Amino acid sequence: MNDFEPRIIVFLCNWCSYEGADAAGRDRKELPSHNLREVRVMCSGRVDPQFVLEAFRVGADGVLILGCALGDCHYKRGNIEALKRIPLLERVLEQYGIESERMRFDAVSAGEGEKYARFAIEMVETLRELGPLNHV
Amino acid sequence: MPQRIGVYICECGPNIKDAVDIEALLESAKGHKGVARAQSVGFLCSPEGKAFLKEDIEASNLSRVVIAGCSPKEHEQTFRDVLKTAGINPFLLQIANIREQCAWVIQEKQAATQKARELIRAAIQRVRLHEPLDNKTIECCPDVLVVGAGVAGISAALAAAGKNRQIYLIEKEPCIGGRVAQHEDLYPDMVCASCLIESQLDTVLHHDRIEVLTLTEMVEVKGYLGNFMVNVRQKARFVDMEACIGCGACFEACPITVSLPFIGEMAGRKAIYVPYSGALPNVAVIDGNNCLRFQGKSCSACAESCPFEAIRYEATDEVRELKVGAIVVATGFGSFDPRKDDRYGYGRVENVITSLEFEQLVNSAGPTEGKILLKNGLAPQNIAFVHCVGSRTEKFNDYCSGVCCRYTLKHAHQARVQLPEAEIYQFHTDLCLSGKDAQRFYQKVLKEDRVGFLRMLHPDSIEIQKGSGKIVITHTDSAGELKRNDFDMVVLATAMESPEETKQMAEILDVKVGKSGFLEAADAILDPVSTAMEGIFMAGCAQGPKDIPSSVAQGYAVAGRIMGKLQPGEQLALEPMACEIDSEICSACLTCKTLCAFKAIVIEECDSTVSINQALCRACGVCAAACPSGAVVARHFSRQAIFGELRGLMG
Repeated sequence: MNDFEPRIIVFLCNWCSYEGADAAGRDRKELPSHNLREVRVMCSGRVDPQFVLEAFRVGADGVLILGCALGDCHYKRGNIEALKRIPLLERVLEQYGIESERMRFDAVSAGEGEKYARFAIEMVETLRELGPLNHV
Repeated sequence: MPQRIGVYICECGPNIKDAVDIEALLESAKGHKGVARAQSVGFLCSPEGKAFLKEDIEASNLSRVVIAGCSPKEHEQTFRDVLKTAGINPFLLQIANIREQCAWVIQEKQAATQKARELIRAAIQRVRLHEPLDNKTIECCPDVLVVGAGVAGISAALAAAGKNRQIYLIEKEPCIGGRVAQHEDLYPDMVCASCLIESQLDTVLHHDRIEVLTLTEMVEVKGYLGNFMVNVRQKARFVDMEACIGCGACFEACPITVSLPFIGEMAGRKAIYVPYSGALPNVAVIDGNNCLRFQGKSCSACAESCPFEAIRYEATDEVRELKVGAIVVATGFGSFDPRKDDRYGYGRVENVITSLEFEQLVNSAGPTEGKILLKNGLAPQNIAFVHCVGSRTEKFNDYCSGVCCRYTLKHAHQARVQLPEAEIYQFHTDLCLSGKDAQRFYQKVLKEDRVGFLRMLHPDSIEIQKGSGKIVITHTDSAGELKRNDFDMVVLATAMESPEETKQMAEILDVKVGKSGFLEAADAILDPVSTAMEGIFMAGCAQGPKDIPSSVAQGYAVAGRIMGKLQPGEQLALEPMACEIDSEICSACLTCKTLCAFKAIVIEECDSTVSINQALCRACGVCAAACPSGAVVARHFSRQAIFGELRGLMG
């Protein structure tokens, strides 16, 4: 399975993590960008659980949700609202037979290109171990 | 009419051109439904590129545009402006970021081309679902209510007042000028405080665009940025503001003397009084708690003595409704009450006073006409100044007020000038002397003024007791040894605290108070004078302890923020992407209301339906994500648009 090339939907908040992903590009970080499909949202708190389910439904092998660092949200606490949804969302995914490891919520600030690259690498590794998502 | 989508690929010099197969991308773009035009351009953001784009959009009769190039964080606004000039709604644009998130990070051309192809496909699918959005505006009132007429509030009022902008400056006290007007000298250059501020107070009182309301407090607020309705209550002064000239004939006639606890019977004021000599407006006020007449007794000494017939015993409190566009909270600071800790001896040991009381003693317009006196009327032979009273201790306030070290040095200097033979000591743990002048002032006090410094182990390592004829201070020094010294007078540099008024304001205005009790800024670093509630601002010590220049600076800063947002004669621009609720679907569960950080969710009084205030919504979309019935529409980031993008990405 090591040559498996997963496709990952990455939800990025407009203010921090989208900038972080751009920073990784500006700094020419080594990251598996060909595995990533970035989607910009204004706030990680905008990421409706349905967006995640839809991403898996249309063929993603994994979903990354990245927002501002906790306490730094441009909208005060949108990322905290996003974080609060994650445990429930994980249970829903498990019920659909989707391993919860296929989704990850984390923080990447505007200057953290390095961290963005690391999360992308880690996600690809996780998904290589899990293999492609078997759609029901 | 079928959509006509134009896809433009920016080569960005070699940045994109060399990394992907542009021709292949154009070919596949042309294959998508609705794409009427696909073209690559060298530098789309250059003046030539933008001119070409405008002309090409018009010539190709396009209705929507996809641009594949650099990050939307770089040029989304640039190209939205181009669309506008080409006659297309600027929101009918989608950017595919094939530079930062593709060309720059994928080495292999074929892989980069494949990702770019999918990003462009997603952008095409998304842009099809975009709705045109309007830059809506609403009527707004440019007038401002400033709560608190200290230096911060006065600076804000003076800077914001102008042609077509009315300022209401309300103050709960009978006079304006706050704490600063009652200071004698200001460090580091010992300039006369009243000389500095009196001219400002005069300007405020006579400004044709500033209405000053003394003895006035805010009681209720409704509305939002640009459209607040505020109820204020003005307490009765019992003296006609127009008739009274502050001559003082009534003070002499009044039979009641109210003494100040820290100075005793030696000095006091009458039940009809002006707060201090030189207070503005120079109009007397009757203190209802002490006036005989208000205790049910028959006295009309003041009315009989007044040559201007200015006394109005029958006056009542008045409530007024003010319409304003912005509110500034400049309620200043309170002082830590040292009675909360027995160790300070305050209120129990005579001649233990606070710094603010010392400030009144040295004030030539104060109760002792500027003389530093003990309660028995004699001058002290030795004075101790105690730093960090109620601050930097977990027991009370964990923060440093940041100004006490400097004003305590000033007090030591003032004591030295007046009492050349007195022994003066400072009990401190550390000295906080930041800024360009404080260190120089410290050196001067240390050398010229011969002030001793005794270092304590911790701000709490001190005990003040009554001795035989003297005050005994026991402290643990920095080496851990217990020391004992005797003094005639002890001055406590009490922590600056958030006053009750600020907390009341926070409740009325529904804005957040931080851990230390002061108002919390929307962004403590980049926007320290704005609260998270649009239209509600703060200045000076309401936001946190600070010195006079910083309070003045915040007053001006707040005026700048308001003038930028509310311009007389202009409408208020709304966030075009603000969310809205489809009332047909909404079940009024109010999940959105609990989540909205900007209090934009409104329950209509008439029919209990839920809507989103377009002036308050910042378009984060948190409510849309949480709405269980899917009734919230997050404009430009709608579920349909995101689903379209996801389908495009995955093919």
